[in-house]
Amino acid sequence: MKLSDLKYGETARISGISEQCQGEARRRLLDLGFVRGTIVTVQNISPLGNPVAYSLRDTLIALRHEQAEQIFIELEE
Amino acid sequence: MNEICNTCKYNTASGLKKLGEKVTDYDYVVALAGNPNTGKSTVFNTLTGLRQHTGNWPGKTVATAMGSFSYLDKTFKLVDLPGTYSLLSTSEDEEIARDFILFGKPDVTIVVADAGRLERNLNLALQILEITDKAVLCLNLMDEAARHGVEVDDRTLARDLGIPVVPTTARSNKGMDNLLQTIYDLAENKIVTQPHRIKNVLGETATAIEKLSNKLTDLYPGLPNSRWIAMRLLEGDTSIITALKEGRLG
Amino acid sequence: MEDKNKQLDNLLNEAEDLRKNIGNRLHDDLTEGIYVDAAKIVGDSVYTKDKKRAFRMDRAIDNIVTSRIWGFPIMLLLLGIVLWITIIGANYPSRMLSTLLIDIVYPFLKGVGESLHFPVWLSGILIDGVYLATAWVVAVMLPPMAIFFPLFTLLEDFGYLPRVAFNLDNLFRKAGAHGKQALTMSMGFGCNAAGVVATRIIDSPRERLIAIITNNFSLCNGRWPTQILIATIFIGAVVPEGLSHIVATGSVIGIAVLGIGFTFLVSWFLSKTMLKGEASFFVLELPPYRPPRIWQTIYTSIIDRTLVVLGRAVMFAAPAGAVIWLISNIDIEGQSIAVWAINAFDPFALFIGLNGVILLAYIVAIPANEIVIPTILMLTVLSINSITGGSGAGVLFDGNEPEVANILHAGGWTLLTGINLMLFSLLHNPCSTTIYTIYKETGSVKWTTVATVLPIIMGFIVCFLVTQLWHLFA
Repeated sequence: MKLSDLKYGETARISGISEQCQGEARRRLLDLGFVRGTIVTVQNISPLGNPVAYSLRDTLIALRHEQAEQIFIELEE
Repeated sequence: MNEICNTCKYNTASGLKKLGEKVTDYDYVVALAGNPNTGKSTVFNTLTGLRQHTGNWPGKTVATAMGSFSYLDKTFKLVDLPGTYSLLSTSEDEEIARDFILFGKPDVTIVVADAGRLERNLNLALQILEITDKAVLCLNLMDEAARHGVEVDDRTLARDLGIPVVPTTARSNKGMDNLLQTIYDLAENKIVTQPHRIKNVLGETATAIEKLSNKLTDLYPGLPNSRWIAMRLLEGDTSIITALKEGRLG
Repeated sequence: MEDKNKQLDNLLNEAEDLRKNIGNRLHDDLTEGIYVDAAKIVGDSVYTKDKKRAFRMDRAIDNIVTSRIWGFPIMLLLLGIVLWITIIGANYPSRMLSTLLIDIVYPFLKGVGESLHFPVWLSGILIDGVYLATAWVVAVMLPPMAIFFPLFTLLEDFGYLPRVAFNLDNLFRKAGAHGKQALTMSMGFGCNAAGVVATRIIDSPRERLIAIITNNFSLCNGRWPTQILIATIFIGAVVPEGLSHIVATGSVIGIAVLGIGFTFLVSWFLSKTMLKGEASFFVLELPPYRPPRIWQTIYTSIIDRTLVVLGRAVMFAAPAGAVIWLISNIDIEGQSIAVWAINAFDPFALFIGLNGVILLAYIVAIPANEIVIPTILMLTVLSINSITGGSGAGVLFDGNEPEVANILHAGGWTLLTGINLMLFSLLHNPCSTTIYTIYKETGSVKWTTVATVLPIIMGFIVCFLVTQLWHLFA
């Protein structure tokens, strides 16, 4: 399941970043805390639908849809 | 004091000319690092007495500033590094920051962190601890942390990190004396640190780092940050390779 | 030594092999490991009291401020309030400064010049030219900026501005730009030079250039008086008395909104042509809300932004003042240079719906939009009388609305001229302070030229089209 599928208020655990995402973009996501095992929640959605603000590790990071699509998650039970 | 500063590409002549002084005029060089939006600029301003505007906007501080201050009987040059989330990437800001800490060999490195949101801030801090031993964690924005109900046991934190931890609220000038004293003591080698080394790297990467790091220490016995160099070599960092070949490391 | 070199080479080769083996997993594994450490350390030493008030307040504010219903209205309202306070609040201080610098100090300086037996040209260049232009710029520029910048900076310090970027990013993304451009665009409503400096928050060079080049379409403080004055005289005059104020205000807002429209249009255009490229990796951190330190912010923003910009503007206004006086008082074959220029520009200018006075005024007033109207007035009087010298030549002046209206009508201005001036004021080249700032920020002659020339060409084209449409329908 992808991060972009997560709905408002939902929480999930990150399982990895897509192989398609490499280089600077991948590193940036990792550095910001989007590593395997991190708990992430959809906190806010922009009025125009894009980007979405995700809450993780006490910070709020907004990503565009095309980036969130490349992050894999598993829903928390 | 630090001849390396004169050749470092980061140390622009114009920057120095503006301040009208040379690095050699100071007793110690202090680097200021930290995530964006941690009040790093406020710390800078409070230490140096400058009045540059700072804002609550991540990554706003631009081309870095230099300032100076004196404490007790010594003078310190303070270099404000770009705010970065990490030192491992290829962005120019991160390059500048890590090159300065590694090659510039500042006498003290201050890592500014947001006390209320420590976890992400530690990413940078732990990396810095792989490069230099002489560091202090400035736990800033303590007032904000209190407002959010966050309490930090700075003693345990200092023990875990192996470096001094100074809680501050730079914008009300709280804790700054403590910070100055710690900087002084670190520079004068009155404090000896045992910085935390990153432990939990997994798999092949960990083995590779270990292997290379050992080989490096065999070749250059005095090299303090062999693990960091190993990580950079695995990254293919050309400036490190060149530096090794030119004998500028170890 | 030799041996060491060989050993080093071996080591480097081995490193290379390992690197190829691990590949991309290096960064993943490393960062993951770091965060595991970080989480443990935080677990040991950080205690969070259960959801304290401030934390919930942050979320509550964000929920409102980025909501589908309230997000946009709040943004527009806040921007409107800031601009309104700026315009109203600056009115009185501007007039006071004006009275002081122009009605009191200026005659005093003229008196000093006389008692020191200054020759006419010296008194003219220094006092009528340099001093007057500079005084004008200061009187008109300083009060609004001293209000706008602190207000804007307070919003910034509070933490609201990243939310604006968050709300508007989708629009900018579609135009090939970055959401943070919303901020630089807003800053441009205060001053375009400051807006250009603000683009430093945009990481990608390509997107940063787009923001810089389009910043000019944000109607800066210096142009508001011109817009309001012309709107009142020409547009307000053609509607019934009671409505004139509303209609005039409405048309100025319309121009400002048109400017925003052009910002998107030109951003899109640039990202398809001169500044083609991939959308950069987008990341936007939304920091926690922090109560700003009001007095500190006001103080530092005035020093940092207001005075710096003002300083640069004065630096450019001073020589411009001298130039204005000179062209109005140096005559060639019985006519001042200014009148020659006006006559030369007239054909082209009328063709696009303006006139020679306006074009000349915009050329010599390039240092600051604030002196455009006084320059226009002075040149209009000059061209009507068509004589050189005299105490009025080269001396900038202003007046109340009826006086200004009289002069402009006498100069042949029509409603069309008024409309075109408002459009041209929006679309002409950036002031010299901004051009200089663009050069300093980009270091590129090429892009500075593009940023300067693109708006003028657009200005000419738009005025031309409006004129054609006008003649078609009116």
